[in-house]
Amino acid sequence: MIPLQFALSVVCLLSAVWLVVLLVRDRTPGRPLLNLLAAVEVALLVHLVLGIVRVTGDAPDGVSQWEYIGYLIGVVLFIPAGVIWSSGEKSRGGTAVLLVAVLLVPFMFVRLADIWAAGG
Amino acid sequence: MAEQHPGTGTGRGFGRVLVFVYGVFAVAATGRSTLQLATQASEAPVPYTLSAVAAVVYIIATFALATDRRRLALVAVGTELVGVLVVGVTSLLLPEDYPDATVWSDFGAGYGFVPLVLPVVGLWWLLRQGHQGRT
Repeated sequence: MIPLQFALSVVCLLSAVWLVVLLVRDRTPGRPLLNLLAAVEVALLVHLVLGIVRVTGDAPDGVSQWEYIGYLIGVVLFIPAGVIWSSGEKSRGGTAVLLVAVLLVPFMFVRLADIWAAGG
Repeated sequence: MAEQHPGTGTGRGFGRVLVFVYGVFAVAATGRSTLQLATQASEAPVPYTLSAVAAVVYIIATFALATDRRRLALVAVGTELVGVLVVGVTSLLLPEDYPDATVWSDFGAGYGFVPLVLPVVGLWWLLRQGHQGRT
């Protein structure tokens, strides 16, 4: 896992803890958490560009490039989709959508590492 | 479309999370099967066709749950449960017929068994909604 992925995973897991606290207390996310998610999303877009450069540049022969790029694009979509979908439901259900979205990000990083390792 | 009762329906409350997870699987299965069919269709036609079938089922289930179409949702989620069980059993008994994985292989082990749990949760949610006596 590259340093950017590790840093983003830590932020996502901290966001997940934050969201669990909100869920338990039956509160909806406020500005600070949404700003944090926006920052994560910006970093994910940087990650997308870096990832495409990396996989098209110096990937080992066996790495499935299209699959790798598919996961890179996929991981960018979760947080915007989650924020939009949860905004229509100001309740525990909406907050739980965001929890699923932030947990999917580290999971996708693991899959990216697996795809890379399979080609190595 | 008109909202009948804010706060009820298959896409409200807990259903909000369910629709989101179904949506993620719809996109993931569509992406996977598109990639497989576009690049290696002849290598493993059976699992790749099954991946495409799974993608369609997830898309229909997502749409039905999000728009509160209970009957369509029941059909889609029921198909999904049958699919994951049949593919799960046959992928263990006849591994030679599955040279590459589908979403439903080994009961969805590659996806943390979420594909096995999801239809059960989906059916529970739909039946619970039914018991609340929506008209």
